[in-house]
Amino acid sequence: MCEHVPARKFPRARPTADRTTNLERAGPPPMQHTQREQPSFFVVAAMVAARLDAVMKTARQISLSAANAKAMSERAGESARGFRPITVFIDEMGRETTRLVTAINASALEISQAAVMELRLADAAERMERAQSRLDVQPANLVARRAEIDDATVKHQQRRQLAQQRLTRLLDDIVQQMRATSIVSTRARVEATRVGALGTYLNSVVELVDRAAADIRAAVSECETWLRAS
Amino acid sequence: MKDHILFDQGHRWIVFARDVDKPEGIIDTNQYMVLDGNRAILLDPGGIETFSAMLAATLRHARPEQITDLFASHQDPDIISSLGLWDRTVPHARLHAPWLWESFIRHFGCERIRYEPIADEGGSLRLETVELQFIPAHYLHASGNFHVYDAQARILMSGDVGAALEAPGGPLFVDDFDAHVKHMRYFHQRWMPSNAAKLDWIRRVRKLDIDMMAPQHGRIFRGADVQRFLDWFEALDVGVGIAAGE
Repeated sequence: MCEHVPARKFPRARPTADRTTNLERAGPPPMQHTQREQPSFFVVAAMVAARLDAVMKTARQISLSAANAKAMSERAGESARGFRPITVFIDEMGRETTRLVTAINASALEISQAAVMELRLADAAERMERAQSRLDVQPANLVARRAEIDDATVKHQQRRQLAQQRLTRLLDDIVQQMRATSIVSTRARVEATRVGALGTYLNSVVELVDRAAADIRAAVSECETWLRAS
Repeated sequence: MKDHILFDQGHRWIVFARDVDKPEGIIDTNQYMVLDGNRAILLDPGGIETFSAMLAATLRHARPEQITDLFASHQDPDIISSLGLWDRTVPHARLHAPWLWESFIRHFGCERIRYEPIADEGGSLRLETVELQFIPAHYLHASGNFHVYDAQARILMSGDVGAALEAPGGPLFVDDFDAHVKHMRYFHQRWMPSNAAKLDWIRRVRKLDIDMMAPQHGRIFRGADVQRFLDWFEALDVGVGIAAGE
């Protein structure tokens, strides 16, 4: 036999078409109160991962530019002899930069995932605590489940902290890498002046490498700012 | 999670799908974003287990403050159980979802996001330049249910209609409709409860100019395959779960 369900348990009455058919009038939602809020840490970590993913192409560009310059300098023969080792060096730096960016991206994603797990576990712990506060006697298995939540929280905190340490090291490494790239670019410009007609092309390659390095430095700086603020 | 741009002329449609790291035992889902200038809407943003992957994927295309709207076609967990986490991520956003399911969807956690109930007859939402229509699709399968149609891009996000169950990592697009049918048949026969609702939806959707039909599971239909699907679905007898009880 069905009990009568009080009316308050039903969803509220269907909205009128007038209010909901067209949300043009409503406009975009107000943002003022949230603009002052810092994004949650798991959001910041995901933003870092996305930002670094965007510079992956830039990192690969360094290697591609170096490969083109190497091919051109080989065709140029003896006059470009001084330039060739530079292209090898730039190519290696391009590969190392790609490796670093990939590792940074992976660490940032791991931080975000671990932070999300911590949030879910914290929510579970809080709700379980509220339940426990209503009980005069704590069932043994509930206490055990609560302990498991606490253990899992610690595990994800440690995972996040290790990933954060790794990320900090990797960000430092890539900043150093980009400084080295700038030094090599300066040397490359000098060598480019010695290779005659090919020099203009080689200079444009050096320009590309410089711009790529600047883009990566800017991206890393942006990410470090977000992480410091979080 | 892979992302693929479906349309990019002024505004953009992006699909997020084929998450190879998703936990075992959960159904594979397609999530969509429509990005229009400084505004973006996530369509069926997904379950809690795929939230991290989905967040990382969306942020490759939009900043958190650009995600101004979410849409849930209906109340299923694979559609919207991540709501509590989106509530923490984009608290300024609005969720557009069937009025019928509001008090149910709120069980996933909706403290700051504003719920914008969609009336049974549907509605529309203008982002910056594009207007999206919420097309009624009730009882396919949920009793309050909407699809999203973009007349400019000629894309219909069709929720569970058109869904297919396949091995993980399948292609994004249908390339052989006849071969694809076997992946869809049982889903539609068992999950869709009503032939009347099905025919009503088909009648409604045949009036739309559709180049791409994008379901929440399985592959996306393009070009002539959209009409092939409508013809196939029209002829299919659904609601077979009732016979199981006899």
